[in-house]
Amino acid sequence: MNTKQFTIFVAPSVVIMIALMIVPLIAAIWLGFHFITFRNVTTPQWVGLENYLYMLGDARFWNSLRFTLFYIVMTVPLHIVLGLVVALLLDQIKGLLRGVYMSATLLPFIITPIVGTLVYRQTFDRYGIYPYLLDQWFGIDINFFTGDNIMFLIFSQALWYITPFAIVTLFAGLQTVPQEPLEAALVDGTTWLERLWYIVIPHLQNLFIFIALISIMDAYRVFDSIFVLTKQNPIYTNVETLMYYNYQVAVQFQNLGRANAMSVLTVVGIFFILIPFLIVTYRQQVEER
Amino acid sequence: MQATKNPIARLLIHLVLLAWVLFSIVPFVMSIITSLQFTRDATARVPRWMPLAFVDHNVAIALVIGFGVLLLLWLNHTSQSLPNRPQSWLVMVAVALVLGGGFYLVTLNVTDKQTFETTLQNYQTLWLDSPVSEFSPYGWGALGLIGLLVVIGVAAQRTPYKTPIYLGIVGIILGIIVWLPQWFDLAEFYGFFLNSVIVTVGTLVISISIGCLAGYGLARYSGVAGVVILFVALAFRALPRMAFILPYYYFAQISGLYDTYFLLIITFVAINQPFTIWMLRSFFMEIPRELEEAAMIDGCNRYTAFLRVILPITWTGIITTSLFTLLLAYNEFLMARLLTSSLWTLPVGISRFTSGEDVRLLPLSNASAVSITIPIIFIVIFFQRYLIKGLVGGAVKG
Repeated sequence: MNTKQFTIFVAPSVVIMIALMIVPLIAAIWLGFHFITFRNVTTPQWVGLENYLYMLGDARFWNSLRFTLFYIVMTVPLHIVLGLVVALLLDQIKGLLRGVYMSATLLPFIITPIVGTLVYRQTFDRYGIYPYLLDQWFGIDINFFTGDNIMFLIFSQALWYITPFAIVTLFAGLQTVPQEPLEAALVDGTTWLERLWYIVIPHLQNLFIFIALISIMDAYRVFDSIFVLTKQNPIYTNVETLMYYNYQVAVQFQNLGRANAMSVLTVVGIFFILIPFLIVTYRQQVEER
Repeated sequence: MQATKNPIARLLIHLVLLAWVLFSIVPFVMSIITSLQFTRDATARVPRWMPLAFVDHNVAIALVIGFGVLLLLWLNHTSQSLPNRPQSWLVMVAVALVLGGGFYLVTLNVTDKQTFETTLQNYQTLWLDSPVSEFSPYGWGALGLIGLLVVIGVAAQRTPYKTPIYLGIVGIILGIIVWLPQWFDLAEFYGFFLNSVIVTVGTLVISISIGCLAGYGLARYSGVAGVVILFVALAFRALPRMAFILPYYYFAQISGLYDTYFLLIITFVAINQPFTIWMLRSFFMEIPRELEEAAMIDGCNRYTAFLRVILPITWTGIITTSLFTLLLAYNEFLMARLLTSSLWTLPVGISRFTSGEDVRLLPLSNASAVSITIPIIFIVIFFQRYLIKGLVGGAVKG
C-alpha cells in the first residue's frame, strides 16, 4: 500500500481524532488559564496561571491523587491474581458447565457500570442481603457506609467489576500454553505448582502486562463506581478519586476553569504512570513492522 | 494444563467457581427480586426474597428445577462424549435430586416474613403513562411480531439472502422503537431508551465505518506514520474523560450544538476511535495479503478490493468490534450526563436513583436497573462467541 492510499484510508479517523481529541486537549490547557463558570461559558476571563497554581496548592486534589494511586495499587495486582486463579479453575472444567460459569462471571463486566454499581451497593445497603446474613449467621452488625468501611465496599466492587476481564483474557491465554514442555515436566515428576510457576506464568507474561496496562488506565479514571457508592454524599472526602473530584470542581463548584486546569494535571499524571508501558508497546510495534 | 482426575479436587473446584459465580450474580438476582416487590416488602427489616407464588406451587417448581438440572447435566455429559457409565447417571440424578429437593425443603421452611407478593406495577410505572389494559391487545400483537421476526431470522440463516434479511429485521425493529411513542402514551423512561438507541446506533454506524477504513490502512501500511498513529491512539485510550468532556462542553455551548444527538454521537465516536482502530487492525492483520493481491491482479484496484474482497471476509471482526462499541455507547454515563440537558440516555436516567435517599423508590430504581440490563443480556447471549473472541483476540496478540 502506498502513502497516498494510506492517507485516504486513515483520513476520516485521523480527522476525527485531531478535531475531537487533540484540539480539545489544547483547548483544555487554554481554558485552564481562564475564569469560566457554567453560567458565563461564552465569556472566559484571562487569569493566567492562577487556576493551575490553585489546583497544585489544593489539599483535596493531592488527597484524591493519593487515593487514586492507592486504588490502583489495591485493585490491579489483586484482580490479576484472582483472575489467574479463577481462570486456572475454569480451565479444569470442560463442556457446558464451563460456558455457564463463564457467562455468569462475565455479567458484572458487561452491564452498564452505573447500574452494576447501583445493584452491588444495594446488596450492602440498609435493606440489603449481605448485612442481614452477616448479622444472622455470624452475629456481626456492620454498617458498610461509614467513612472507613466504604473503602471495603469500593475495593470489593472494583474486583467484582474488573476481574471478569482478567479471567477471560487469562483463560484464553491458558489455551495457548504449549503442551510439550508441560508433558516433559510431567514426566520429570514436577509438582503442579512448579509447572505453573516455571512454564505457565512465563508464557502468560505479555498478557499480564496487557491486563495491567488496561486496568491501570481504567482505574486511574474511575468515576462511575465512586459516584454511585458514595451516593454523592460530601462526607466521603477520604475516597475521592481524581475524576470524581474533577467532576465536583466542574459541577458542584461550577468552576470550569479550575476543572480544566485539574484535568490537564491529571493527564500529565497518567503519562508519568504509563511511560514504561508506552515504551514497551512502542518497541513492540516498531519491531513488528 | 492437564485436568485433574481426583474427584474431591474436582468437587472443590466446582465449589470455588460456584462461590465466585454467586458473588458475581447475587446483586442482579436481588435486583430482579426487588423490582418485583411492593415498597413495603422491599423495605422490610428481614429481606423478603421468596415469591409467594413459588411457595404456593413448590412441588411443580421443584420438579422443573430437578428435571432442568438433569437435562443440563445430560447435555453437558453428551457434549463431552463421555462414556455412558451407570455411576455418572447416579451422580447426575443425585445432583438433580439435591437441587430440586433442596428447593422444596426451603419453600417448606420459609416463614411469612421471607415471602413477598410479586407485582409488575413498578415496570408499569416506569414505562407507561396510561393503564396497562389499553395496551394489552397491541402488546400481544407486538410479541407476535417479535416472535415472527425471530423465526424469520433463524430461517434466514440457511438462505443466501442472510445479510439483507437481517438488515431488514433490524430496520423494522428500529422503526417500531422510534414510532412507538406516536401510537402509545409512554412514560419518560421510554424517552431515555429511545435516546440511548439513537445514540448507540449512530455511534455504531459511524465508528465502525471509519474504523474499518483506518484499521485496514494501518494493517497494510508499513511506514512510520502508521506506528505513530497507533501509538498516539493508544495514548488517547489512557486519558481521563474529563480532559475531553470539559472542552466539548465549552465548544458545544459556543457552537449551539449542546444537547443534540449529533454532539453525543460524534463525541462517542471520537472517544471510541482508538479502541476501534486497534481492534479492527488486529482482525485485518489476520487476513493474508495474497488475497487482495490476487483481486488486484484480477482487475480490482485497492479500494474495490477492500470493499468486495476484504470486508466480506472480516465480518466476524466487524461484529466483534461492533459489540464492544455498542456496549461503550450504551453504557457511557459521564459524557451523556455533562453534554445533555434534555436528551438523557438510560444511564443518565437511572442516575436519579443513585443518591438513594428515598427508600420508597427502591423497587422503581431496581425496575429501571433490570430494564437497562435486559437488552444487553439479550445482545450478549446472541453474540457471546464474538464477545469472548474479542476479549481474547485483542489480548492474546498483546
